[in-house]
This record gives sequence, C-alpha cells and structure tokens, in this order.
Amino acid sequence: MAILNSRARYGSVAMLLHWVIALSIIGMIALGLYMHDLPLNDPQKFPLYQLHKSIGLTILGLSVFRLLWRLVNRVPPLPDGLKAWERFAARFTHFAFYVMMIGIPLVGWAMVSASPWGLPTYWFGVAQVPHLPYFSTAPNKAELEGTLKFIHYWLAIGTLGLLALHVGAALKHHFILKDDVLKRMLPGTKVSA
Amino acid sequence: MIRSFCLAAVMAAAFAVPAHATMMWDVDEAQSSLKVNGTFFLDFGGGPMANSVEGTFKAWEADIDFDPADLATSHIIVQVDTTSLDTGVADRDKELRTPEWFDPAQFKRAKFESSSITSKGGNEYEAAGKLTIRGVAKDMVLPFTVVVTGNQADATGTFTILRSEFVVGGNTRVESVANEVTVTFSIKATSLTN
Repeated sequence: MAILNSRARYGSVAMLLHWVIALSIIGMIALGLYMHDLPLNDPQKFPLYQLHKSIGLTILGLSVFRLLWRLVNRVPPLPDGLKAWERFAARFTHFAFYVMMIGIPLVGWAMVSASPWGLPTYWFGVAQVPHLPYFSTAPNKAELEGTLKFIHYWLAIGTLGLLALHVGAALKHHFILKDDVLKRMLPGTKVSA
Repeated sequence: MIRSFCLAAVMAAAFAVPAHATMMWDVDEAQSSLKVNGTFFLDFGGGPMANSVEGTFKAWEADIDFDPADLATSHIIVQVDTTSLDTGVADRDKELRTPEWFDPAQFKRAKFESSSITSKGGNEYEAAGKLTIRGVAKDMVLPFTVVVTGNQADATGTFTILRSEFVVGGNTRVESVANEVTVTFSIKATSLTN
C-alpha cells in the first residue's frame, strides 16, 4: 500500500489518520455524554474527564497534522457524475469536519482553562498541558466556561449530523452506486486505477 | 445590609433572668468574612496531588456581647447558614448541600456559642464554647484577637476542625478530601453602647 495519495486512492498516512481520528471522535462523543452525567461523587468521573482531555488533545494534534498533510498532498478527485449539490455537500462536509476536528478540542481546551476548578491538565498523566492564557485569567471564568461548554456540546452534536451525512454518502456510493469512493479510504482494497 | 440582632438580644436580655452589663456590637457583614479552607487530592497519573479550595459563607449572623473589662458576662453566638457556602464552583457548592455533607434539609445552621471568654493578655482572647455542625456539638476553644479603636472593633481568628468529628462528608475518604478544615473569620463591628 502506498504511503502517499494517488489519483485513484488515498495512501496509508491519510487512511491511518482518517480511521484513527474517526473512531476517536465517535468514542469521545460517547465518553463526553457519559462522563458529564456522572454525579460529582462518582470515583470514575475525574479519571474519565482526564481521559477525555487527553484523547481530545491527541485528536487536535493529529488533525492539525492531517490538515497540513492534506494541503501539501494531492487527493483523489471527486467521482464523475456528481450533481452540483452533491459536489457542494461533499466539499462542505469535509471542510466542516476539519473545522470540528480542530475547533472542538480547542474549545474544550479553552473551557478547561476557564474552569473555576483551576485543575491542571495532564496528557495521559505524563505531560502537563498549560491553560490558554486569555481564558485562565478572565474575570468571569464561570460564565465563560458555561458559554464554552455550550459551544463544545453543540459542535459535538453538529459533528453527529455531519457523520450521518458522511457515512450515508459513503454507503450510498459503495452499495448503491457501486463505485470506488469508500474503497479509496479502506486499507487493503484494490481500486481501478 | 446591617442586621441588628442585638436589638432582639437586648430585648431578650430585658426579659431574661440574668441581667448583665452588656456591650453589644453591631456586625458590619459587608466588611466581615467567614472563610473555610480545605484540601482535596487528585491523581493525574503521578500520584495524589493536593489542591486547595477556599469557600466563603455568604449568610451568617453574629450576636456579640463583648466587654473586655467584663469578660465574665460576655457572650458570643455565631450562626451560619450552611447553604450559603460559596467555593466558586457551582457544582461543588451543590454537592456540599447534599445529605452527605452539610445536610441543610435537616441541619440548616451551624452554630458556635461561647460559655466563657478569657483574656490571654494584650489583644488575645479565647472563647470556650460549643461548636455545632450537622447536629453534632463539640466543645471547642477558639482563640481570637480583638483590636478596638474608638467604637470600632476588629476581631480575627482561625482554627482547624476535623470534618469527621462532625460527620461532614462521611462517605468521602480523607484520601480524597482532607479531614482538616481551617476556618478563618474577620469581623468588623461597631459598639452599640457608649
């Protein structure tokens, strides 16, 4: 399998980033909803929040790298025969995903920085991650945290909507149109050149 | 807002059996404070890390009958609305109002009432009395300092209690939230009698 993308399909770097980040995002939405509803005195609450922050920062780092990789590499073109709205939907969804993948963790980082709890952030318990200065020194931290939490949550819900569109389209291309669109992103599957 | 419990106390004193020479003080709540400091421990992966938390009680009343020249008849009552504790984090404050912690549904107020006040020399005093929290009464001796300037008094003091003695946070191990809680008060009051 080639490392770089070609006209026909995605390379191994792009595919690895895609699936690792995709599964992480799905897991993070589930984790976020679960951990948020735990009562304060549940001993799992604090460790799950730390896990959520660690994975979130990892997604942020991988997504920034992914965006750079995307910008300096070629990508397989959109398949032929798409209507104008379909071309727009594809480009919009992919663009929106980049906004979410980078934006949601940043909002989360800002939210933690603004939290009146004032707890430090550790990446998987090994490296301390500093708070974002503007947010950690704001005079109205509790209010700011509340606003950021609202944004973080609704962007995550928005991601679920994008996911539905994205997965729906991939499955349509694969099972109904029977083209190579899904195969291009699946490791170990051959596509017609 | 200045509360004048001393008016009620004076009236009560008029009808109560022991008549005592009183020196009543009107507490200026806006200039006074009642704070608590505690420690909680979190493990980020490198072992438990101590984090400190400071809370302020926003609603409390002090009934102060204090005459440095007549300590034998001096008497202090402080009552605290335990639902008024503000630690800066709403979720945490809400947790402190649950039955496991202050249980305000059953024990809305914490109270200290002095039984005797003694001078330790200079501006230092000690108030022996009962501290009641969450329905548990314990004998305590609270040291404090009073500086009187004209008719203004500045009283400060700090003491440490064990939350386990008052069964506050009974299901929370001391490895999570430390047993020691430090209470610090600063009271500014104006004398009501000349």
